[in-house]
Amino acid sequence: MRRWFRLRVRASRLATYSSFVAETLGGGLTAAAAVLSALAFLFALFLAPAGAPFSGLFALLFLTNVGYSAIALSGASAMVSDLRGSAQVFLSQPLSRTIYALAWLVALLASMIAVFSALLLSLAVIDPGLLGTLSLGTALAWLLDSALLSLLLLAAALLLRRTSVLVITWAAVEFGVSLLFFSEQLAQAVVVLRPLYGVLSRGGAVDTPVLAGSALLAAALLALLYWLARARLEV
Amino acid sequence: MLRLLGYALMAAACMALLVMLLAASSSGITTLSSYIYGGITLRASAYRGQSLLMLFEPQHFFPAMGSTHVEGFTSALDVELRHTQRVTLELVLFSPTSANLTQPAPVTSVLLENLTLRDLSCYMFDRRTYRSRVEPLLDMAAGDWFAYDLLERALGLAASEVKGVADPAGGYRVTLQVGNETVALCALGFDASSAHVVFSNGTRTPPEVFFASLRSAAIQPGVSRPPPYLTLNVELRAYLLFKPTAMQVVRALALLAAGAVLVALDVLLTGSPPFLFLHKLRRILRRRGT
Repeated sequence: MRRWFRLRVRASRLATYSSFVAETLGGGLTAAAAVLSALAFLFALFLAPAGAPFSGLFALLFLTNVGYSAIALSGASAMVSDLRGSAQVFLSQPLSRTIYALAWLVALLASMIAVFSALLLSLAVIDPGLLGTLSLGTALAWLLDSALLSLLLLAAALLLRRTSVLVITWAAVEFGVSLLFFSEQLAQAVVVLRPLYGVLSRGGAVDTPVLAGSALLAAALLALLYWLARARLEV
Repeated sequence: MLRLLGYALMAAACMALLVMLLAASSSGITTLSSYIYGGITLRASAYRGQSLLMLFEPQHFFPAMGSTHVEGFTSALDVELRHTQRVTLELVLFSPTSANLTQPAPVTSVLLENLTLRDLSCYMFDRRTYRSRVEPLLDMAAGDWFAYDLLERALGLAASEVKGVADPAGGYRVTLQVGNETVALCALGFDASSAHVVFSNGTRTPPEVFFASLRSAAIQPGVSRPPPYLTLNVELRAYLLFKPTAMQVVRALALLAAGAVLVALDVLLTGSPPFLFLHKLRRILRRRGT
């Protein structure tokens, strides 16, 4: 009973603090997600009817993914600023170090889900039949790809606490890794980090082992984030 | 967190309603477009008296045209023909002698100068009618420059005709709405009475002599591939036109309502002001004000 009560209190704190991050601390995460969602409708309108079988949908997924990566970078940069500024205040009781780090992750993942939901619902507004062209595997690849980038950026923010390093990490993942897809052998090595690019480069074919590998990598990065929060956030 | 999702849905819905309002208040919004400018491959061509009739299928250049099944979208095609006096035809010169039959037919270009563009009309056919009745006539006329009557008969089977509008520069322009089951065929009419025919080797000849020689064994255009190819100032622009349907507007309103409900729910649960995320903007504005 006591354990259940403690868990509920922690969940409540996590929800409250992640809302605070999304709306005030996170560099305008809510506003940025809303702007990207509005753009997602425009992208959907202009791209979804294009091409056969669904090259327009590929472009749509790619553009929203790039847009979300910019939001993730801005959120992680805001975390670096916070760690250098007022974080010490929040890291005193009752907010724990892990809840602090997880709140930033939850805020980023919530904006990711908001953008993706807006994208799906935009397609449904235009024509519900368009949803049928998006497979579950492709949707999972988009979500895993964005989640991996968020985890990586937050881990880098906790570890190095420098915005310039964050920008370099973001550019390396966003552009450097993408360049490796030009080589088939190198692509196989990095496809776990960018599952969406793997799906797009294979013309929409979803490789389930790659998705499973990406999920494992996400779990490993989450564990790393947890460990970094405990080891690097001393008050 | 609910309000983050709510605002995202509301933003997408607002954008959707704005775009739909714009599209409904105008003749529609053009989304995708592609262009072809310059030369086109002819489906058939014929000469009678002083008139030259050339037919082409604009959809041949945009295979995806008319294939969209997305709600609210229709395929449209602009055909614009600039003022033109010079037309280059790529012809196959074919001498059906026993010696030449085994050799590939030489291709030459023939320049028709001083032509006068008389009209541009596009004809719309039902796909089934086109396949079963029009295509056989066009195939029969393809190799015969004197099959004018066949072409006229083919055009007579059209479901509708769209006449090109002449512009002050001497060109013609026509816009077609192409559905999934529609085939378009455009006809260019030229007055060749004062034309000059110039072969690629520099030989000049009057048009009636040229067209008479086409019937002879010496030159038989279209007997083998490629078909006559026409170089003139033609511009084809295919695009998708978006006009919202009532159901799309209803769905956008439902999305807006869903977003508003999520935001309201979050405000009720947390008690924080609904536009808290604008506090930074407000702070910046306040700083500038002071």
